[in-house]
Order: sequence, then C-alpha cells, then structure tokens
Amino acid sequence: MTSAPATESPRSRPWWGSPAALSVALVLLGLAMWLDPWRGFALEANIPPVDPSFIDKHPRRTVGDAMVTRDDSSACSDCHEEDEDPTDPGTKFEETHEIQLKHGMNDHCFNCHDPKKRDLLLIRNGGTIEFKDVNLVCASCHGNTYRDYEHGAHGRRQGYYDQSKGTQTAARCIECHDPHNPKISGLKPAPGPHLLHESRIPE
Amino acid sequence: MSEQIQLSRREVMLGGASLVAATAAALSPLRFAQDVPDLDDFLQRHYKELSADEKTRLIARLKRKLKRKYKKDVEIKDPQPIPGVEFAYMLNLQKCIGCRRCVHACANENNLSRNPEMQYIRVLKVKKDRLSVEDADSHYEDEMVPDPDHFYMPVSCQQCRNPPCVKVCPVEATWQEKDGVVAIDYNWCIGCRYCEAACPYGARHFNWQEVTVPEPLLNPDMGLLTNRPRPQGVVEKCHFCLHRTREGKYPACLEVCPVGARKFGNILDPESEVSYILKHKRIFVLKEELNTQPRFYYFFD
Repeated sequence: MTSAPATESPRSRPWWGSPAALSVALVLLGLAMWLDPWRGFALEANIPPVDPSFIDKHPRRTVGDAMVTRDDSSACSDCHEEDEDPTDPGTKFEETHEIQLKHGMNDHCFNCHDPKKRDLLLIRNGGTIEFKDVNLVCASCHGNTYRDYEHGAHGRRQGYYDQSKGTQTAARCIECHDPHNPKISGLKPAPGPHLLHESRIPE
Repeated sequence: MSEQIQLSRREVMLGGASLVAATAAALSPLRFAQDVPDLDDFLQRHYKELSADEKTRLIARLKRKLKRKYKKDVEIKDPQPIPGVEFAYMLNLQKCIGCRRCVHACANENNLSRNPEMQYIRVLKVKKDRLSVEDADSHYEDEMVPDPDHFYMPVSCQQCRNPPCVKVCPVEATWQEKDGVVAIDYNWCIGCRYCEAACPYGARHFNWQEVTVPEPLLNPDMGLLTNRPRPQGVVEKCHFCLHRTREGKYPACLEVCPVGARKFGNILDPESEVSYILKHKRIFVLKEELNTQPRFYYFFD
C-alpha cells in the first residue's frame, strides 16, 4: 500500500492522454483518408470494354427471300438451262458459287434443287416449292426438328413471347445453318469474368 | 485516492484548438462523399408498402439522381405481374456452345457495373466424362468454342419456388413475386449478404463498389425492381428481365443466343414453348436434392 511517490509530479499522465498525441493521430487519420491509398486497390485492373460484336442480335447468316447466291442478284435460271444433265454431281460448283457441299448423303445439287425449273426447290414427296418457303425443304427430311421448330423449342426467336402484345420473329433454318454445309461452325467466345487479382486465377 | 491534474489556461486553449483542428482534418474527406443520402432516402418505405403516389415520387427522385449522374433522361417503369403468368426458363445443354454472348448482352441490358465487373450469368465449362459442376471452369479463354470434350452450362438465378435467399433475409428486402421471380428492393436491402451465402447457385452478387456504367452504354429503359443502377452496398441478381418480360418481350440473354439454346415463356400457358419442352424433352434442374425447386430448367433434345 504505497501512495504515489512524492518525487513524481502530480501532473504526470499516460502519454496517450495528451491532446497533442490525439491531435497527431487525428491528423494522420485525416491524411490517410485524404490520400486514400487503398482506393485504387480493387480498381487496379483496367477492364477493357467488350467488343459490341459480341452482343449483336442478328442471325449468323444473312439471306434474303430470293436467296440468290451470286453477288449480282441474278436468278439461277439466268445461267442454268433446263436441259443440264441432272446426274452431274456439280464438280465445278466451288468455282462459281463458292459452295462446299457437305450435307450428309446429299452430294448432288438436285437432291434439293429442281432440275427443270431452276428457281424452285424440291421436297421429298416430289413437289416443288419456292425459295422463300425453304424451311419446308429442310422439314421434308428433318421432321422431328421441324416439329420442335414450329413449337419454338428449336431455333432462334426474338421479339415477343406473348404474341398478343407484339410480333415475334423466328429465324428461318438457313439463317443459322448453311444448307450446303449445315453443321454450325464454332465461335470465338466473349471474354470471361475479369480476374482482378492473381489469387482469383483458377489452378 | 484521486490525483489532481492541473492544467494551465494556455494548455487547455492549445489542446482544445488542436483537437478541433485535427477532428476537422480527419472529417474533411467527407466533403468528397458522393450520393449522400437525403432525408427522403432515410424515410423511404419498403417497396410493398408504397402507395401509388409514393411510388411516383420515388421514381421521380431516382430519375433526378440518374439525370445528375449520367446527364441522360431515363425511363423507370414498374410493370406488375400479369395474372395467369408464371415464368420459366429452359436451356438446351446440347445446343449451348459456351460463347458467353448471353453474359454480355445481360450486362448491356441490365446496366451491370463494368469496372468492377458484375455478371449475372456464369458459364461453366464442364468435362463430358466427369459431368461434375464442382470442378467446372468458368474462366476459360479458348480461341474457339465449343470444345468437343466439354459441354457448357450457363448458371444464373434459378428463381426457386422454395428460395433459400428469401428465407434468410433479415429485413424482407427480397421476396417472390406472383409470377415467380425473386425480386429485391434495392432501397431496403441492408447489404448483410446472408442471401449471397444461402444461395446454392452463386447467383447473388454484392456491390462492393459503386456501379460504373459508361454513360453511352447506359440502357435508359429501366425497371424499378430490375435494371436501374443499384446503389453501392446492396445485393443484386438475375430477375428474368422483368421490365421486358412483363411486357411480353423475351429476355435479353435469349435474344442474343446465336444457337437458340435459351427458351423462355409462361409455364401456365399449355401452348407456350416452355410447356412444349417440359412435355417432350428430357429435363433436369440444378442441385435438385436441395429442394429449391428452380424455375430454370436444363434440357436435352
């Protein structure tokens, strides 16, 4: 039980109690907030804007109703006569039409094109249809897929799902599939989630 | 035993003045604080309790603030659930090629923050021989997709019928709408992130920083519960583009999909494409064993 030694000044205080120390601490705090050294930390990564072509809604292939394959928009019958040999597999095809025919068993032009009337297409029951109804040519072999397409389960739809409120557009078969080479090619993927910090890079 | 401290008048004056100055210096960065909430923000009531008049005033206030920030006039709508409509989403795993167009179309439509980056859809690249989403990769940077040894599985909010995120919210800032979509009141959310932890699909995302959308990319067609720029410190997630879908339109991710893998519609309408798929295709939901009962279905042809 000893009281404070008489030699010690009654004004002694712990160092942190002095207003000067508190002032220094507050000034440092203010300075730190002002300089904000941790502000740039998370934003350090400069995330580049995404190429707008990645959000383009247009179908992959552009085809008109006339479905001409030549640049000069000429009809097929302008060049092709009716009396061409229908058994000709079309070996010179690639020169004039830039077409690669890779459609399963269909290795002849006249599997789908009418040999007589060159501006028409053939369907499997022997009838002919116009180019603008090309979906039915596909349907005459790919019945199950066409049924799904009709019900909206296959293919691209845009606009209004509720057709009482607006119009819905369905892409035709050939707006995604090249009829001469129907397998869909790959795409370059859009950039993935940005890795802000190295620790987020998956192993 | 009390020890008396004796201070001179000079010491008191000096100490006091330096304390005041230091406090002012410490608080001075607040001068640069942005979006300081005003009284209306403090008194803002829950979305579900708003009268028509209060909602109009809230929308006017939000528009005013957005105009100040983006120098652009925006439209904020609040379309209501349509009676007899329950939304469902179908995604064809056989078709998806993992091109991530949906991810960025979503960001564009919904004014998602670009830097820091916010994405509602995460595309998982899953090994075909493993069929496990646990070791899937969402950061793939291939030159060309699809990779023949993998399939791709986009995951976003599953709009569960039994949503764990809604159960854990301590302030009821998130709830299920009548058409099935789990909505969030961005003004009511306190940012506790319980929902983010509860969601088994990683669908909820927290705004650690202020939402940054370059002004020319801002989509001015906004919804009150959906794509208006969110305040910092709240949780957000996919909402099936309610501002579009309640007006009969398809969601943005569906329209951009180059392979037509995404299908959306009213599951209560027997003629809709989603009802057709539900009847005719092989369907599964993600993490079925958790009994979340998602409205987002994956299917194969």
